Amino acid sequence: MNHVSDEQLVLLYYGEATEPGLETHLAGCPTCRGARDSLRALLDSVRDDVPERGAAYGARVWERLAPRLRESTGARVIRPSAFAPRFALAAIAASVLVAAFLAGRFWQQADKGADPISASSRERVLHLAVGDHLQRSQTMLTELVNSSATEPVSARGQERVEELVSTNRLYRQTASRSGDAAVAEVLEQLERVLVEVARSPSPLSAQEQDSLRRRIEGQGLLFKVRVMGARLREQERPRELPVADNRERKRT
Amino acid sequence: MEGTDGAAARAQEGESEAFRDLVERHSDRVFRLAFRMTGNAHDAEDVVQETFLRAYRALSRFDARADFATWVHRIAVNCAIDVLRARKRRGEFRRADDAGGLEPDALPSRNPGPEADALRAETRRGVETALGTLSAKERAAFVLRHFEQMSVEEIARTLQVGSGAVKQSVFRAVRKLRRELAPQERPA
Repeated sequence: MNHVSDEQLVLLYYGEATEPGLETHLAGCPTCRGARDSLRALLDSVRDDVPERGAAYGARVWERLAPRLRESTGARVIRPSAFAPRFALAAIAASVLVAAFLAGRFWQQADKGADPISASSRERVLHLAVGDHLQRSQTMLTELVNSSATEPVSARGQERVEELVSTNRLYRQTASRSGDAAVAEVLEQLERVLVEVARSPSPLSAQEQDSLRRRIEGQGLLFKVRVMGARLREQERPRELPVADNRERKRT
Repeated sequence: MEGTDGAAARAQEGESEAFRDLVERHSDRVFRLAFRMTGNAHDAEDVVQETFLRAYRALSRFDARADFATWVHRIAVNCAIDVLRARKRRGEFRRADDAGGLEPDALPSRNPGPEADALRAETRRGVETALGTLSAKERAAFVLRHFEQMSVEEIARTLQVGSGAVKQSVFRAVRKLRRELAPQERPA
């Protein structure tokens, strides 16, 4: 075999040499061994020397990045739409339909005293729909609290706030009629803020935004929305467990 | 593994906290790659910002079952290549030991002594001089092979070139390194 080429030695160093017999040749050839050792010393000296950034580096990157992300979306509110506008609009439209449907069902029940949909199914659909609505509202409020006052709301962003207000109103009325006082109360508080956001000028002045932020934070609204939304979504998850339990019981 | 914890999927659904989580988790690794590619902290910081901005804009195209780290790593490579090309166009050459703008906790942590420091600085300058003469893609190929320990095939996929081109880039880089650093190999 001829002497090992520089290229083969490089590949050998990186563990990517595929040619058979290289190692055997190196074992018996002092010239090639010398070349290999020399290359190894060279490449070993090219070491990692990246400056340490510290444990809080990721947080610092986010601090610098977050305002640029908001600029990038061109909207002050409704982060989900920034990622998937079509999906967000479709979800809101679907919520309005569900809300309108449920509201109609509850009102019909009140008027006629008969309803083909069982109360538990109705309640379940309402909880799932309100859970999703609260999640979307929570994202919007979080964005609002963290945004800069000088960024104007895009027309689409404004439209979505108004849709959230309409959906919220329907859900609140439905929850009140069905006697779900806790849900109705959170939706009522949420609605007041949503209406305020929808009616506020764009861009908000720093003072207006501070006042809105204080109100959201003072009422613990974000926390309430988060907890209620999570509770409603969770509530519907274990519904099938009793069926499994029954089956278990039948077997035993 | 990012594909399994679902943060990317949640970010795609609009959870800003999930995207924040991804940024905080992957920033350090992206910085390391960016520093190795650009050779200085200023440009590396710009690459980190640009990488996550591009990732954010392209999030809807990310397959949430895939590995987010691999995806964002690829974006970082492309951002760094853009920075290197822009720098070449402007005729700039930043020294590798130009740590201007670093915050106190960002300074190198190892301090084994003045002689070792001097030798390391000299080696770093030699490496930077050698790599500075390579094209952006050649430099990327060497950095990914030598520091990031990616295979030739993985590098070829990342840079969207053939594996032969990757090998040639690595060979060229090694030849230039040898030219710059060879005297240091054999201490007198």
